[in-house]
This record gives sequence, C-alpha cells and structure tokens, in this order.
Amino acid sequence: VTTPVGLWLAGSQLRTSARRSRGLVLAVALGAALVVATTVLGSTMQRVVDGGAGVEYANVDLVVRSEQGVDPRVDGGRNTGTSISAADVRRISRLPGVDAASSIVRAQAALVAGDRVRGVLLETLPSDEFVWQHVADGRFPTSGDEVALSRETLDDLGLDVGDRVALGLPEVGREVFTVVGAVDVRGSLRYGAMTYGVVTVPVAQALAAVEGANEVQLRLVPGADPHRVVDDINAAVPVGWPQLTEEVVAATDQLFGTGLGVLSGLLSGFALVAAVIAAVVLSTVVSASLPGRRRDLALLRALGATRGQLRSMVALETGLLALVGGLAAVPLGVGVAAASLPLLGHLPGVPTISRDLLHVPVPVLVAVPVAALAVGVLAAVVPAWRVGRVSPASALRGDGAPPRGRGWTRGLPALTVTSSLAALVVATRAGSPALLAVAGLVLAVAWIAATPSICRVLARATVAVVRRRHPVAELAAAQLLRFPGRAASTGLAATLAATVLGLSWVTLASLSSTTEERSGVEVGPEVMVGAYAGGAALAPGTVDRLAEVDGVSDVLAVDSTVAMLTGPPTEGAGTTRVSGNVTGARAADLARLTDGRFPLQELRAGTAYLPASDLPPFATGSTVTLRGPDGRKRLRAVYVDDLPFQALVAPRALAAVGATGTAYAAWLDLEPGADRAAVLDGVRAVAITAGGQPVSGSAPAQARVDGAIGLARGLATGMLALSVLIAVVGAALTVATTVRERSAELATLRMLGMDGAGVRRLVGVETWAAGALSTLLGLVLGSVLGWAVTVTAADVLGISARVSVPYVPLLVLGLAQLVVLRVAVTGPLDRVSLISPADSLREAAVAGGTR
Amino acid sequence: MNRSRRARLVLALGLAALAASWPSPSAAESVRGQLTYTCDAAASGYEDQAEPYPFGVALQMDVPERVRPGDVLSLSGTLSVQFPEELRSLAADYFTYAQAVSDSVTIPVTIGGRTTVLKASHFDSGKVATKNQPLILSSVVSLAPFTVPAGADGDIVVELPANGTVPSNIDDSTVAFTALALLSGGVVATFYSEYTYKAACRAPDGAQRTVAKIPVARPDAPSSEQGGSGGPAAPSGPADPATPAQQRSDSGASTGDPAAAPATDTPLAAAAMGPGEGPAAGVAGDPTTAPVAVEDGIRVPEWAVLLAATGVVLAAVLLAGWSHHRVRVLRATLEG
Repeated sequence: VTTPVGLWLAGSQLRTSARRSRGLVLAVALGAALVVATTVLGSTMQRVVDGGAGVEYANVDLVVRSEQGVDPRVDGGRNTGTSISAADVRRISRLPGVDAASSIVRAQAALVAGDRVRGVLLETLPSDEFVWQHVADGRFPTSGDEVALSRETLDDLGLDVGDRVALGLPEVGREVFTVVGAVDVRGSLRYGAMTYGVVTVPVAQALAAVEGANEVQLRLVPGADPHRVVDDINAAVPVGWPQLTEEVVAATDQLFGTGLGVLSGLLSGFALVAAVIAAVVLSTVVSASLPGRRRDLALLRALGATRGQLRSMVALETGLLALVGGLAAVPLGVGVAAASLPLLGHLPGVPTISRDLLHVPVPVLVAVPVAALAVGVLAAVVPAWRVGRVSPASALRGDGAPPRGRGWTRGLPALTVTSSLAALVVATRAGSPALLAVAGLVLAVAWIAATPSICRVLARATVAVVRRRHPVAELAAAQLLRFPGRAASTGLAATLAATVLGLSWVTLASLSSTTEERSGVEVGPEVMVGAYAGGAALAPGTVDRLAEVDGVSDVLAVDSTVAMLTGPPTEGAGTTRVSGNVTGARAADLARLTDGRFPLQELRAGTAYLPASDLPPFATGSTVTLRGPDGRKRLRAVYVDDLPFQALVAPRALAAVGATGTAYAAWLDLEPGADRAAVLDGVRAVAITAGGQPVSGSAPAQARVDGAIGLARGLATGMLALSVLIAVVGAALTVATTVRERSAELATLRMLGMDGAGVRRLVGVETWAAGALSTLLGLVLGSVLGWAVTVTAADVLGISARVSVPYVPLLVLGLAQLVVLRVAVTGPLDRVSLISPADSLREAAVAGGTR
Repeated sequence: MNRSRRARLVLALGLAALAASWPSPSAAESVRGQLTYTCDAAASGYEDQAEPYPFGVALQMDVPERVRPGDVLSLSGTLSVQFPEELRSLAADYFTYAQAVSDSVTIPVTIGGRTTVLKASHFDSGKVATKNQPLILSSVVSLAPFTVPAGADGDIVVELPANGTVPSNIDDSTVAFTALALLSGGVVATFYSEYTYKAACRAPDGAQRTVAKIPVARPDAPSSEQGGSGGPAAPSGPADPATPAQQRSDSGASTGDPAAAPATDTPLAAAAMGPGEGPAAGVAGDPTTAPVAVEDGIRVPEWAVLLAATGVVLAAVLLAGWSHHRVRVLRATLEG
C-alpha cells in the first residue's frame, strides 16, 4: 500500500515543482551521461585493441626474424642485418608441422617529405596467402622507384597518391620515390601507430643491407605444436629468432591495452566524480526543499498519511528524477562518445578510431538508468529520514527552526577535523596507499561535516567586523550565522568539485616538480643521440648537424672502441674477461656537457672506470689488462656509481694500446631557456636521418613526463568542468528553493523599507559568501589530499617528493567556479527582487503551495 | 688452339672445379647453436612474482675442423640472448636502453664421453637500444684454454648451457644460467636511474643443445691449420675482439645525411631503378620467390657439383685418350 500511495504523492510533488524537477533531471543526466560516454569510449577502445593487436599476423602462427641490430665487431657498426636465404626458407617450410611459409624484407629508413622527416618502417609484401594489407587507393609498388604509404602516414605528412617522397639511409644514399598507393593497415595497432610503407624487394634489401629476407612467416598445420616447431627450427635451421605470433600479439595487446586502460580508467574516474556530485546535488536540493514543504507534509500526516508513506514519497520522488535523468543520459552519453571518438586519436599513444567502430555495450547501458534509480533512492535516505521526523502539530504551528546543537557538540567538528588531519599525516608517513585512502576519505567527510561550523565562525567574525557599517553584509552574515547548514548544503557539490580539482592539480604539479628536480641531478646529458652498444655508429657529419640545431649549445661525440679487459674475478682464482665498448673521453668534456654533474672530476690514465653493479666483473681495485691492436696496458679497476658507460678510460689509455674510438653516441647540451620541444624535434629529425638513432636523456624524458602531465591535467580539468557545472546547477536549485522558504523574511525586509535591489543584493552576498567558502574549503582540502598523495607515492617509489601547489591556476579556477555559480543564481535573485511584499507574504502564508 | 692444348685446358678446368668443390681440410667452420630457454623473470625485489618467458639463446663460434690430443683449445664466440617481445615492448615504452650482464654462463664440453662444465667469461652486452626488434643482447664470451687429453678420441662436443648448473637468482633451485637485465633511460629512469630485472633460465627437457662437434684426430694425423684454436664467430674481420671497430667502420659508408646525399652510385640508387633500367628492378612480394631474389639466391647442391666435376674430369680424360688415339692413327697413316 505504501508504495502506490507514495508513488502518487511523489508524482504530485514533481508536478507542483516542475522547475526544480527539470533542474535535478538535468544534473543527473549530465553526471550519468559522462558515465555512459566514458563506458562507451572504454568499450570501443578495448574492442579496437582486441581487434587490432594481431591484424598483421592473422594467418601466421610463427615468425622467424633475423637480427637487425649490429654486431659492432663487424663492419664497424654499420647496418649489417643478417639474412635468411631462400634455401633456409625452404628448409624451414619442410619442417614437420609447417603448412606454409613466406618471407619478407623489413627495413628502417628516413622518409623526407618537404621539410618533414620521419623514421619509416618499410616492408615487402609476403606471398598472396599471407598478405594482410589492403590498398585504400592506388596500388602496391611494382618498380624500384615506387612506394605505397599507409593512409595514416599520408595524413600525417599531408601527402596523397602521386606525390613524391625521398627515402634513404646514410650508408645507402637517398632516392626519390613516387607514392603509388595508400595502404590500408586494417586497424593494426602497431602499423597504424607508425610511419609505414611498402616497397619492392630490391629497395628493402638495399636499405636493410641483406641479400635475402629477414623475416619468415609460417602457418602451421592444424594441431601442430608451435613450441615443437620452434625447437625444430632452433635445431635444424638456426638462422633467426623464432617466435610465436601469439606472444607478439599478446605484447601488442598489453602495450596498447595498458595505455588505453589507464586513459579509460582516468576518464571513468572523473566520470564517477561527476556522478557522485550529481547524486549529492539530488540529495541536497531535495533536503533543502523540505523546510518549505513542512506544512504540506504536516497536512498529509494530519490527513492520515503514515511516516512510511511520506518517506516513500520522498524516496520515489528522488528515484523517479534519477531514473528519468539516467534514461536521458543514455542517448546523450552515446552522442558525446561519438562526438569525442575522433578527438581521442589526437592523444599521444591512442590510435585513430573512426565513428564506425563505436561500440555501445547494451548491458551496461541498461544498467545505467537502473543504477541511477538506485543512487536516487540512496540519495533520498537523509531527506526521507528528516521527513519522518516531521511533527504535524509543530509544523502547522510554524515551528520551523532547526534544533540547535548542544554546547558540548560545538567543538566536535574541530576535534574531528584535527583528528582526521593527524590520521592523514600518520598514514602519509606510513607510506601505505590503502591507509591513505581511508584517512583521506575520513578527512573529507569530517571536513565537509565541519563546513557549517566554519561558516558559523566566519559569519560571527564578519558580523563583528561590519556591525552597523554595512547593513546588507551584516544581515547576510547574520543569516549565515543563523542557518550555516543551509549555506553548507548550497555549496556542498561545489566543495566536492573544488576538492577533486585541487587534488588533481596539486598532485600533477608535484609530480612535474619531482621529476624536474630529479632530472636536474642526473649524471647524464640533457640529450643523447645513439646507443653505446648494439647499434650502428653515428653517420659521418651527424655531430656537425646536431650542433647546427637551434637551441643546441654544445655537442660531444662519445668515442668508444671494442676492446677486451682481463683481470682477476671478484671471487676465487683465475681470470675474468670482459669484451665490450670501452669509451675514451676527457673528464672536463663530460663535466661540461653535464653542467658538472658527471661523477668524475678527472680521469687517470692508469685507471679503468667501470659502473658499480650487482655483478662486478673484477675485484675492486684490482689490476686489469686492456688489450688493444698495438699492445696491452695495465689499469686499476675502479667502480663508479651511475657511470653510464660500459667502461671508461682516459683517451691516453686507449692511444697507448693503439685504439682510436668511433662515435656511437653524442651528448648534447641545450641552451638555457630554449624551447625544449622545438629543440627535441630538430634533434630527432637529425637522429632519424642518421640511421634511426635513439634519442634519450633527461630532456626527452622530462618532455614526455610534461606531455603526460599536461594531458592528464587537461583531461582532469575538462571532465571536472562538467562536475563544476553540475555543482553549479545544484547550487542554483538550492538557492532558488531556500529563497522561497524565506519568503516571509524577505517580505518583512521589504515592508521595513528595503527595496528590491537591496533584497537582491542581500541574497547575492549570501550566495557569494557560501560559494566562496565552499570553493575555498574544497581547494584547501584538495591541496591537502594532493600533498598526501604525492608524499605517499614518492615514498612507495623510494624517492623524495617535491610538493608544488599551483596557486595561480587554482585561484583562477576557483574564481571561475565562483563566477559561474553567481551567474547561475541570477534568475532566482531577480525573482526575489521583483516580487512584491504582498505577494511574498501571501506566498509565505501558503508555503507549500506551487513552487 | 690445337686439340692437344684444348684437351689440357679442359682437364685443368675440371680438376680446378673438383678441387674448389672439395672442402678444405684446414678451414675453420662457423657454427651456431640456438635454443629457446624458459626464464623465470621478475623485477628485482619482486622475485615472488616471477613469471616464465621464452628467451632465445644462440652461441655462434668458429671451431677448428679437427684437433689432436695434446692440442690447447681456446674457444670463444658470440653469445646472444633474445628478449621476449612482451618484455621488449614494455621496456621500449618506458626505457631507452637494455643491458644484460651475467657471470654464470657455463659451457658444457664433452671429450670422450666425459663432460666438463667450463665457466664462460663475463657476459656484458652494453646498453642496447630497446627499440631494436627483435631485441638481441650479445656479448663475446670465451672459455679458459684447455688441453685435449692424450687419450682422447671421438668428438669434442660443445653445448649450450645445461640445466642444474648454477643456483637460481629467483628461487632456491638450480638452473642453466642466470642474468640481470638492466633497463635505463626514458621516463622511468627519472625515478630509477637503472631498473633491474632478474632472470633464471632453464633449457627444455630433452632439447638439442649441441653447438659444435670437433673430431679428435689420431696423434699421427696432420693437425688443423689453426693449431687447435677457435675464435669468436665473425663473418668478416679478425677474430680478436680487441681489434678496433673503427678500422672497418668507414668502409662502405657513403654520405651522412640521406636527405642531402647525392642520389647516385649508392646501393639504394641501384635498387630504385625503374622497370627496364637495371637488373635490380623487381616487384613487391616474397623475396625468396621474387625474380631478383631468385637471381641472387641460386644454390647448387654439393652432390651436383661433385657429379659435374667428376663428369668433366672423365670427359677430359676420354677426350685426351681419344685425341692421343687419333694422333697415333694419323701418324701411322702418314708413316704408311
């Protein structure tokens, strides 16, 4: 019986407060739409990852790749990839379990189109049954001066079929090719994320410096054990590195899945924040409406309605609002997801996803309105409990003043907040993320619960300061002093939004500061081009071209030579031999390129400096022998922490054994104040044309961290802007509701001589004060939580944290939130100022009537 | 050219072809053995979360064709380890360089049925760019010289590391070898200058681990030209790893910037010639079946070479005998 009656009563209430209902539906719809949108985006991204991880190996069970790195002993580190001959391919294809085999040639090269340079992966096509690429436009190349580039590459470089590009490498030269086709990589994650093209066999072979193939693709007979085939290849045809394609696909899946998972989690987290704020808005607005409905509720009780029916009425009222909002959120969220899907492709590491791939998970979308309904009912717990306490007699008498707290409870909020803060500090010192989460949640609840008390204290202080000098301000402060809970509930959602905003910004700013500080003490250079081992030496002229890049102030070629060190082992007798790259450099040069951070101030000619390691090859301080082409030299082995080289000696020591170095890497120092991103772009272009050399160092790492932080900050701010909007809607609805409750009070003020503008100013000042207090408290709470998160995260990582509070951005964001809030309540304030005293009194007399 | 000279020329060519096709008894052989080991790998400090990954391991070395008892054998070669793709792709995303170090590589050497496990020299790959695919970490390893026992016969068998040889760095078991992978550079290096992974590797049960079999000749047999010593496997260049790389570094190098390099007389220029412009023109497709690859990849079986050479010799002998017979007949006719 309770539910149908409650349903009828709830429907009646919703009809009589249509404006408030629409506002609440909007708030819920916005919050739930964000959840729907992020769910759809997450599902779509997951499907893209699942479908695109193994496109290129759809018909392949096993691949055999030859080594494309470089044995530095051979050909001086030139790009001398090993080759798999046709005979080897035939032998592999005849192994038991192999159904079909095909081979391709894969090569890295520099692609130049106008003033743009990219590192490009070029491949030949496998045999017909293994071809996975399609042609979107044009055709595949058939002659040696043609290339087909992936559609993504063409879009990136602004090219089209028929255009001409240059391909080349330092050791093989450069040629102009005509783009004859656009390759459709069919959603392949790896190939879609890289610059990719198809060329003819001779071109690929010339670039890869091989005579045969460098990858063999195998399809196994059904039921064949791929591990057995791998063993057979190892035993019978050990020409390359066999690998199961399922392992390669799993690696791709993991790589892209992790990145997209983090992105999806980040978006979902902020969407959840928005949904929680919407629920809080629902709860606070319905709660705020109750005082104005006391007479209605009392009459219902007098007419025989039970407490349960009234509670059901409120629960069903909020539930219905949430359900409608949840239903509206579904198409809205799907639309937002469809609109934002192409934008995701602009985020680093996220593949381009067309709207055709949009995937709407139906079960989840059905669950959203149901969940909204549940949350709506849950949000009604507090208002329903309060409704149940309404006494018909006192309500009809007009005893509406809330009960005041007892004296001993006045200090409770301060005690709770202080205790929670202490607990947070303890949790932070403990370095336990779980403990931190609990302590943070407790502090947030205590903080919000203490808001009325803080409001009261500040209002009392304001009254004391402005007494008789600013009547409006004094009246507003008096109102806040009398009804601090109303002000707190008006800004509760805004407090939550500001808290998450402050938490995000402080955490991200602290992360950036921490990484920047750590980058500043790294012993290596700001930028390094090349690798000390396993790669080709820098092409001639590379160092000069690096020096010409704008923003590069200094370049040092790091010369190394392959040599052998022999000496006594760390334990036992005998001799240990270590063969590898021995670097010869001057300490002054290394110190100059690292601004004095290099750990050695001088290099002694009789010493071999080795990196401190868990597996040192020689006994510390022992005498080792450096063998060179023209002799041997005895050196003392000294271990150095964080030494970036395999072995470092003074140039004189190398010269003494007749060895001269080859530049495998170059260290770069950047000009102070130079645009790091622009300089790195220039350096990367040179590195690509120098044979695809890696670029590392503190500057690229910091740039990547900054990029990730900027992305996260942008996402956080964008997503939280919607949360702020929901909070503002809630605040406006609360103000509108409470203003009606104060009709008698405002009418009295008008009759006492206050004009409409004065009343408007009075309520406006109250709104400003409540909004400012809520925003300020939220930002402070967020900053405190951000500090705790940063310190705990640093503790977990074992590093020292550098907490940074971005005051200016937080101030700007806080002011923006405040201004939007003030603008949003303009309508209710205007209505207050326009209503006549007589109308106000009549409305007060029939409080509980049409709202 | 008279018939006699032609016959001698044909005979000489036939003998030369036969000689060329016959393997030289003194040539050192480059051998390679490889095996996919299963390695338990985990970040240092998280050994209890170790997971198995397939690591390819290859040992390439030059070995003498044969040795005699009493010879001192110094074996060395290049040991290469392939990072599994799953770990490589993760490493490439967060780190710029990977380095493998190990002091527990052992090489079983069997002489006359008796196996001795010899400790290899310190393995240190140096810092290799993680973007390489496949990611191969290599180091020259060598064994302490040993003397072939006086009574040895049969083969000296060199194998890849065997199980149960060294204690694991992950748990309490014994494994084939252990290693540390040191990851550096990149984003994570901002927080950890070097991130250490541990790996403890086992060979599959019953796997073929043989790298080389070196026959032990009788004491009175001629010794190998190399005097019973092997060297590190290198397709070209001297075996001594101390030989400076830069001596060969500039060979074949052309211009520096491909974007600025002249477009003539380069390997790519030859490959990039259009249809009909040169022999290198081909089509995109399987390089082992494409026309150019076939031109470049004709392989004649050894037995066919031997058969052909034998046929040439026989034909030359028959031709010489027939010519000699004709001469005798002609002389007899002229002399009446």
